[in-house]
Amino acid sequence: MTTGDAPDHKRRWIYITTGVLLVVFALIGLFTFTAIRETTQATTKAEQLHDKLVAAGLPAPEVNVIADALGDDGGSVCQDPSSPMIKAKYQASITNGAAGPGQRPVIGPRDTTEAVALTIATYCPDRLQDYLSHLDTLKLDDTTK
Amino acid sequence: MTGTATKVATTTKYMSWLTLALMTTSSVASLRSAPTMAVYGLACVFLYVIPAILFLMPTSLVAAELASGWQGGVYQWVSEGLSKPLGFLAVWCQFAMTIFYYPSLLAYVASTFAYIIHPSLASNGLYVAIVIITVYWAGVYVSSQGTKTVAGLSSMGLVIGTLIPGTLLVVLGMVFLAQGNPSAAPMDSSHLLPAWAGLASLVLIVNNFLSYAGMEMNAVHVSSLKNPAKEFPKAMFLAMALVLVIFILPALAISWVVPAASLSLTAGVMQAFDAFFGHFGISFLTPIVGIALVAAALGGMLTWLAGPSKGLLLIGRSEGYLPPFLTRLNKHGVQQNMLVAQGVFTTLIALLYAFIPDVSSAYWILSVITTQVYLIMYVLMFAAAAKLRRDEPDHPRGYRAPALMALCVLGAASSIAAFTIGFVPPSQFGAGSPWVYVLIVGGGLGIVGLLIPYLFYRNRRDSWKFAVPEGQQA
Repeated sequence: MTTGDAPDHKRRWIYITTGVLLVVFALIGLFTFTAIRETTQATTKAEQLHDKLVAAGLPAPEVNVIADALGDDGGSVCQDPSSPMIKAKYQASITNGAAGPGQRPVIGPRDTTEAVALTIATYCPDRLQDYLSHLDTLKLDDTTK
Repeated sequence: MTGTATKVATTTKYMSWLTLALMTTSSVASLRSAPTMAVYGLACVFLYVIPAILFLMPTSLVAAELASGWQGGVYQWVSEGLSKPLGFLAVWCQFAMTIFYYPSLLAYVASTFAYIIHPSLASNGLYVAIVIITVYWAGVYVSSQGTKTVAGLSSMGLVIGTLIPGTLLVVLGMVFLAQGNPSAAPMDSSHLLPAWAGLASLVLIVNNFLSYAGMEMNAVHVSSLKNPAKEFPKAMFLAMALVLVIFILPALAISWVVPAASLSLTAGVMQAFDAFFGHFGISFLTPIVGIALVAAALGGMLTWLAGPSKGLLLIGRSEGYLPPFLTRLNKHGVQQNMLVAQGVFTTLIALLYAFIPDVSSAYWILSVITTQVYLIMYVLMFAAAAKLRRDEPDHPRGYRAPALMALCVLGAASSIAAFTIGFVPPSQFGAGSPWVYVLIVGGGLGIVGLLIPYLFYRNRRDSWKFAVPEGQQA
């Protein structure tokens, strides 16, 4: 900008503060990231989900990948789907490929929501009814191969 | 105007074209959408390339020519080419579109932090509110420190949060294939095109034009360049290439490793990244990449905070469309009061979005209304470019877009197609009557895109006018 910017020293402090905050958050993440991996329970659940996905004709990840990502409790998939924030997160995922303000809702693929339903049924069946109720409010279609 | 309004510090430092290119890329592209598009496998290439040919290319080349000939952003271009009221309408449309961008972005930031620290936090209201308020208002503070600060942070956000993790994803994806693993998503020619599900597929393809919305937005900072006529087109070309690479390659890499249909979409972006890194036994990278993605999202947010409101400010000052309270500048020459007013409104919407059941469905309808409004700006921009080329063929331009008239027709037709498809109800509208949806979107469009700017125009006052220094027109 040819006019009016903050002086260099102030800008430097903003950059340094931002950098330090990012490093601190990354370190907190490193120490607190609680993924439960490779436990017997996680592998058993992952095998169950794998079989359910295959039976439903959906692409199934390797068992160890499922176990890594979902642990033995389903991780973030098993958060209360009726919570406004979780519901908002689900709805925000049914959008076009934009990463900026051009993000716009589309008609979501049915396969993916079915896969999530199977995941919930495997890891946290008590959440399934809430999720299915949420699905009932969505119009879906077969847009993936 | 008195006080801080006219005491704008002056510096001789310029922004480099490379910084502007990174800033533009940061405002449009990020890895946030990669898992969503990985669901479509190889067809994600089609879903990004076709809109790039039909919308990104016309938008970028036309904006490059306009910015190289008329310093400033859409207001200046449309005012010169068509009329001042239409110029105001154009910049208003650009500004209005951003308001509904922040809530979903802030919710994404909150849920990403939660995923890293403890997933149950994502449904904790107090936590979500603290993240939304802190992050957004920190962004407003940074934006009020001037364009160079914004440019620096958004460029760093792009490098740290998009380019480095994106490269990592692509390299790991290639290693995965080189090890002889079969791709999780079929990569044969029969999967080049997305599944055809009639209207639903058309909605997806045409709405993807909007993936590139905003390529012209940073033209408002063109006066920050030393040689705008030559440097702005260079910045646009680099940004175009980066945006395409960032959108396509990481989405493909994820689809090679993780059957995305099973894990990513409603499960969330971070789950897909975790599954990806889990395959390579490097899950410890997930929280680091999560923080990096947040940095990129915030960098993008800063550019959108700083850009369109500046355009609105300058037209507000030069034509007296906005009351002086809103157009007052701080000592860094930034529209601080306007940012704060916008901030109050945005924070409120973001908190409602994250807290009130069923608001998220309504939110997406409002979001459609504002992107519809934005498409009006594109049609005006293409019309102005065509008219300026015809009426002022000898006006000096640093860059002349090849076949400009054809580009304008293509760009305007794409914008109109995206506008039309905006009237098709999305998933979030559920089983409601399509006609009710059309009425809501049409009514909202009339209010946000026509009535509000008309009221500003009608209530303009000569006493609200202030001189805008040469070279700073929006």
